[in-house]
Amino acid sequence: MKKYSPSRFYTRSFLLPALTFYLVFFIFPSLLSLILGFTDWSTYRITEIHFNGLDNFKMMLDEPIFATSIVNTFYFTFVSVLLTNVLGILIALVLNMKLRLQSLYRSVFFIPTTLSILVIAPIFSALYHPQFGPINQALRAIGLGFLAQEWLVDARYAMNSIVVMAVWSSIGVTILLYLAGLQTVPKDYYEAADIDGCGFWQKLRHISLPLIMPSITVNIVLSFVGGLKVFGHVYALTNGGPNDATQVFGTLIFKNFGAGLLGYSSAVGLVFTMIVCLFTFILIATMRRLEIEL
Amino acid sequence: MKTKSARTKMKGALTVFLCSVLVLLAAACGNGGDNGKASPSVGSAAASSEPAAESSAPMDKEPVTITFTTFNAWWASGNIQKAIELYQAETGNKVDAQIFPDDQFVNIINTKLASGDTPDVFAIWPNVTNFNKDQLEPLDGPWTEKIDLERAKKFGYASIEDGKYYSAPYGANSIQGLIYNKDLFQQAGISGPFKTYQEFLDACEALKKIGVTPLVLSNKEGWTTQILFYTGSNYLAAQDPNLAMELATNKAKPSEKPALIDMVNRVLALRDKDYTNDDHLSTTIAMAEQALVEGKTAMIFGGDWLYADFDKNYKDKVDSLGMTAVNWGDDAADLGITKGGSGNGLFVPKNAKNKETAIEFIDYVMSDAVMKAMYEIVPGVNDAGIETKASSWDAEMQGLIDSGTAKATDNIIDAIRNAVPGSGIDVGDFSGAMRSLWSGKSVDSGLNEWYAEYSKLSKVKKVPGF
Repeated sequence: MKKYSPSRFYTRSFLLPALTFYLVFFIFPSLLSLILGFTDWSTYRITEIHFNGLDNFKMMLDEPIFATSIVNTFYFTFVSVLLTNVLGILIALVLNMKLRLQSLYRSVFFIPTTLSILVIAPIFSALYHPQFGPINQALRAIGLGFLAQEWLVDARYAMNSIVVMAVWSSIGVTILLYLAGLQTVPKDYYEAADIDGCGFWQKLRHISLPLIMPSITVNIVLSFVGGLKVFGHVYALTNGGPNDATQVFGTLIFKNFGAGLLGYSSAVGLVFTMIVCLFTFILIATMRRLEIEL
Repeated sequence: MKTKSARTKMKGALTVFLCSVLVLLAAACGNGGDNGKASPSVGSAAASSEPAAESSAPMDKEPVTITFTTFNAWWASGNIQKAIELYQAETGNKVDAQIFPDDQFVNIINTKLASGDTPDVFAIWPNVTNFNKDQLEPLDGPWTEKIDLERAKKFGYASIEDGKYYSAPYGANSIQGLIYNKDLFQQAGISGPFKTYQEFLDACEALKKIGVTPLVLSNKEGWTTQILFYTGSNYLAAQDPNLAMELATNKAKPSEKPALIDMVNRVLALRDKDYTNDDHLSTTIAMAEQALVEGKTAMIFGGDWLYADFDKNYKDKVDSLGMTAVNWGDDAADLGITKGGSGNGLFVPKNAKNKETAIEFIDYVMSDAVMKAMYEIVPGVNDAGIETKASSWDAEMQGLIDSGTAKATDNIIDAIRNAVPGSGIDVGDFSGAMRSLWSGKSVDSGLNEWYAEYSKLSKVKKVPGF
């Protein structure tokens, strides 16, 4: 006979509401979405749901924008991960030094993270305006008018313009995590390195970077997954334009959902989820091997 | 020096004070209005100066707040705002207007209809085949008796399947054409209509010689590019009378139709000959209108509904603008003027929380007095059987039709939609596809992408042939 354990009872009781909530609002809809990806459900026939096999996936592969959205999503992800992490580490290294007004600098870098994308996007839209935007006006004012571009409507620059906004808005968290990692590195290693005559780059390469590998893993994984899930930045700035040049997975799913193609957008979402999971697992496994235990 | 307990007490007091400030701020920002609605109604403070129509709401009825949603551009035109202002003054009810950016509204309203979180009334293009009519409430106000049912079925105010009205066509019938600056035309020694393609090219060249951009495109907007192609609809129909039917029944793809490819190439030639603006993707319709009025450009493609914009923003210069027709073909007999149905319709979703009040609102808007008041702001000819103020542009274009110079015709998209009545074919984002061609995509790939989109939508809607 099982002995009654008050602690187990209370643990289960307190977990039950949260678990129920999670099951009802996350697990169940996700499973349903999985099934709906194999149906022809649409708002045009809202009460009729029929299985249509792999038709949705065939339509997806036939859609020219599908390939474009994959390429754009990965481009956005790789460039934003690279920029966010490289700049993040560099800024964290500077903020880790003893500076006057250190708290102020840390706050300034973190503030963009607290702003909603719907607030940031109009600001950047105004900055990027081809005629009246401060960026182009400043370039013209200093005689570099030839560098002024139509940042959001020229297909060559639109995606990179979005990446810049994404990096600016998310770098605060990256810096925070790197700063936390740097502060866990024992000072003894740096002192020993100083005694051995190591310079800044040697200390960075042989001490800081190896020992903050867990922070690097977390940051890269988080920014990678965040990059693959990009939606708000693109939707708010260009809505996938000009001419689908910035169309990403998220906007493609939303476009099809908005067009009433519920089954089809579920199928695209399913493919998207599988791609995100696959790349995330590969990335985590790779990064884990590089970590050093203290 | 403060003791530890004094410091603790001060910290505690500061914490309580800051919490109180936060609570007060949250309370100040919170809802305090009736029915939990804090959104300001439109025109609620302004008393109407128009003679009020006969009151329809009993004085002892509780005021109701209905939600209304539409495009930003439609809201800005002012006519529906006028109707709402009159309605609120007349009935005491409130209208909570939720306005969305033009390029997002279609997605948003489809999402709301799919999720059941619908407004009480929404304004969009009045064709019911754009929606699942089971999500919409049928309308049967007194205004339905003034509309020709066959015309209503053709333009989708009423469903072909059950003959019931689902949208109230409050907007003016759209006439598309070329809006021009009369002074610049005079300077260049040209005049419309342009009965052949070559005449139009010669006119563009003459305008270029006097130092203005002949034609400005406002391709930052979602809807403007298609107008150029609409104006060639009669030429297309003359070249390939089966075009609309074959596309509507999926017997041919757009990229397989020589007449369509030819017309697209003729339109794109304007770009290749430098008759248009390079910054078309960042030019809004407001910027194009300003350029036209200021004489920086001589022409923009648009519709008679733009008269209201010019009348509102450039009242002293609106008479210096005119509207004329363009033929993309070589035979003057192919000159056509595309006359569509109403450009604006009001719908009530089946899931509307205040359905009865929403329907009363629509009946109010479609009454004679209110329609006349709306058409003072956006003049035009309507399908509601009410005599309303029309603009000089309507007169100019109708004059060309009445004199036999041009034929009244459906635009290519309406022709495809109406080729098989009741098929419900969804033509997708034709304007977006044409915009991509203007931006450099090859004609073949642009037309194929358009086909991929509309065939996908039509397949889902189980349109015969797809």
